[in-house]
Amino acid sequence: MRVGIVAVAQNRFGDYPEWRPHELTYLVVEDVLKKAGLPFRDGYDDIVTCSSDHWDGKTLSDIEHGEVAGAHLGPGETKVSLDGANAVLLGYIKVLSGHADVVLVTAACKENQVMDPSVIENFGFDVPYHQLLGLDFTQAAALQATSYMHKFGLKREDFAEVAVKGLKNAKDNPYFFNGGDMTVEEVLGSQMLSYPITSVERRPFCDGACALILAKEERARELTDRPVWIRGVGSCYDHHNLGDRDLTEPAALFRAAQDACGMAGLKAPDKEIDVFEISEHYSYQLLLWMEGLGLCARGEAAKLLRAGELDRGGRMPVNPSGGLLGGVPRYVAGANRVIEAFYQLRGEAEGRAMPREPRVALAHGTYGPAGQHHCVIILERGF
Amino acid sequence: MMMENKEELLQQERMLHVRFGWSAGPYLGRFLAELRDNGRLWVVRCPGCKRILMPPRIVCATCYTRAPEFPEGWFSLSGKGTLLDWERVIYPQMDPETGEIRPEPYLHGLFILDEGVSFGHYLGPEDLDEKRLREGMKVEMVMKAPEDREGKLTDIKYFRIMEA
Amino acid sequence: MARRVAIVGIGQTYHRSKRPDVNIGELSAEAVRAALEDAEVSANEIGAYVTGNMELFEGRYAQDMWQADYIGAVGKPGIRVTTGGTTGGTLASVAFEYVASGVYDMVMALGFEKQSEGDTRAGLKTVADPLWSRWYTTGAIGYFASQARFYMKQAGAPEEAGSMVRLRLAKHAALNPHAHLRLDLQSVEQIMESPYLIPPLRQMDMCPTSEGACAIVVASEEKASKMARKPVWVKDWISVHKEVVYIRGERHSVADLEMAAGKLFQRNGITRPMEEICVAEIYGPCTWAELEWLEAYGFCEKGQAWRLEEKGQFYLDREFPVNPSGGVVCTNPIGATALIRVAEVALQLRGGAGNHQIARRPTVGFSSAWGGSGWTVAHLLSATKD
Repeated sequence: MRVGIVAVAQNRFGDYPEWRPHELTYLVVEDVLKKAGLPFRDGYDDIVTCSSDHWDGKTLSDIEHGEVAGAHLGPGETKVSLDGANAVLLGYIKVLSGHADVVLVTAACKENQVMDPSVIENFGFDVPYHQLLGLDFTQAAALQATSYMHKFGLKREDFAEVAVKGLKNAKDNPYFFNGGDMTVEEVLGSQMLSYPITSVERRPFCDGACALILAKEERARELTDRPVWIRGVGSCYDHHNLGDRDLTEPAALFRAAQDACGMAGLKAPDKEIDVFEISEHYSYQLLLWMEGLGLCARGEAAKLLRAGELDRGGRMPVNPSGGLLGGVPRYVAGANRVIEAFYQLRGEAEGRAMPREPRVALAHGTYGPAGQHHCVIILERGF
Repeated sequence: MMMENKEELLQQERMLHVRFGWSAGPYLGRFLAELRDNGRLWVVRCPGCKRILMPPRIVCATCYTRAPEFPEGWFSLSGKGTLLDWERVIYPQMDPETGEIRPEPYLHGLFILDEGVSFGHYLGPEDLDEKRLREGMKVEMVMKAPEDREGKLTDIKYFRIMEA
Repeated sequence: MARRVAIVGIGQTYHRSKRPDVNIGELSAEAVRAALEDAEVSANEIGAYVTGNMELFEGRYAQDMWQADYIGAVGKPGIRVTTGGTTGGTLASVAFEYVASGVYDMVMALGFEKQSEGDTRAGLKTVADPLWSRWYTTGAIGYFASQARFYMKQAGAPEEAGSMVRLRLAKHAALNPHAHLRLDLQSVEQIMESPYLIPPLRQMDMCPTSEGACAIVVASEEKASKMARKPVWVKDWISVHKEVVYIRGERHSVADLEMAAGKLFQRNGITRPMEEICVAEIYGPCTWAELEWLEAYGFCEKGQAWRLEEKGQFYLDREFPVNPSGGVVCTNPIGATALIRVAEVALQLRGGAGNHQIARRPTVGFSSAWGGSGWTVAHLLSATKD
């Protein structure tokens, strides 16, 4: 049985002091239901929301998100409190399990309402152990970045190049606010957060929501003549303590990609996948995750980037959307990657389409310190 | 050096101090502003099923019609109602804004406002004798002085029993 | 469903008010190891982990990340699902879906809570909208005090009704070594001396905060059929949510409970639930909730539950055993509580509940979870595949 994505919606991510988090969810739910031609509540059998009680500042943040998604005395709701790609994965599982024919998936986060994100992230480290070191996700990422640099002889310029290209691509994306033209020097010269990561090299914190409708094959074909099938999924946890891992080896990503590609029947992802929308919360991650996905040899991704192979028109387009550096909230991030891949596959990636028509896409989400958890989803054009 | 052969169970303490700046949004935001500025409860009627949405919100969860933003469809409640239920709160309760424990006991009331919506708030004044309370008694809202209002539900001081 | 699934392993900790001897990861690991031993499988055979708890309660963040090493999730697929009080129920449902989908053959669901490490009251207060009722909310206690008053009025029940429930649960918990509160309660009069929290709700009517974890191993039909221990088959599951308006018309609504059980029974051809279901582990955060909700689920008519309670019909050696484990009122590590309901029904169905095994041989069991703004998650389990 195949499961397809039939419609998607997202806000233009940015700063929304005028809306509450669930009001942002409502706007995208209203939009996606209209696009799918489905009535609220009766049009779907289940709802998967993605939000964080910590970031919403309330226990059971899904009360509000579920309500505006039509959960009341209807499809019920399940909250995933992990990166949004996992909410898409769960939606897929629910349809495949036969327990639901149509699932509404949402993800939302208002990062701008949280004044102390580092405090929250810090409490995500093992509290009796290394939380006291004052680590947050940026510092964990910085440790990974320097390890990666040293192991393969990379330079800060290699990472800055990711930001230069990403921000340039993001200019064309109507959903991204952080696009722009920067030089490597300007990137390196921006405010240092945690060596070697500068402020321009970190995904900007922002507000936004997105939604997707997933349906089993027969239903998907009724709802659209241009479905996008989910062909494979994978997810994986790595060790938590940074010292237990070789930070230069994204083992969890490798396993998640293997599972997803295996399900999709793909043996050579670098050749058989036409476009990649991956979650680079920090510039160096674009390169490291590419290697973890098995797209090139270890330490080689920077070269491919410089040679233009990862450009929209290149051999292996990565983040033609602009990527997370273009401005996507956490939790929404991985779901946005799926949505961007969906748009590319349907030829609806306004302003940011890759010139070659893609047939198969890979979307990726990650969460946790230095990418402790990864989720990979393989999508295929169904028309 | 030998460790003492006594099982010591270590514990570490932390205070998690996280600040939030929650947007009220156009619906609840208008409600709170009207409460602060005019001492009135402004609500919106759902254009679909016609029930009163209190607190005002972007969409009705039952009929899923989007509610209009102020002022279309908005109106003010009288602030009067009847007493449905009440409780004498004995178990110590924390004030979520300060983290301090509220002095207890105090009285909470649950009211059905004249327009049909339910609402909960303090019952006052402080010397209100709980034994007098009966379901169905008429109540009315008492606001704090305008200079003490902040755009929060606590701008309402309490509900009092209206003497016959 | 796409393929049948079964519960093949069950593990839980010995729930206590405090477990200073373990950290949260170790607490969870106890339940996980117990489930693996019970299933007679090694951790390697677990294909994915579905974990959850109350996100804010221990004052920690991203609990699935730092627990991964403790529970064997490293190098494995996994997801974190958190739906408040219903979390344990949702964990079970998601684990069932993971296996039914065909993507994973064996999945571990884990719910846990170590509430002494955080501030439960603070955690519960944040359920309330920060801009609406948070300043006011008396949390669960206020809600259930109000419910107790309503039930007494609506059902014509005396104040003793709550204490009758409490006595049954105490008697059951005394036979369940995993239960947290195993009080030596002998009579309704004794329980009526318990001090009030908010009248008429007494301290003893209300569930405790417990520390504990519960894990179940769910397997595909193919795998389950090959296992030594008798699998418990999953018939169905459902989740119903409700808008966050607690008072509808004039009273608390039980629409979610009615709909969840109603749909579940209707889908499975159950027309006389109290006769066709052999055992129920219902989520009752307080004694009065058990009464109101047994009626709402449709096991008995409105206003009848307390009368049947008075007759003792819900005891484990009687006509319709309710909460032979002692229920939520005796054990409540919130992230695990709803999963314990599923686990306890499964234990009953395979005859493995030891001293608190019900007298009659059960074939079908019902478990429920409650939480959120009035949400219900419910499951139907069976001793036989069909």
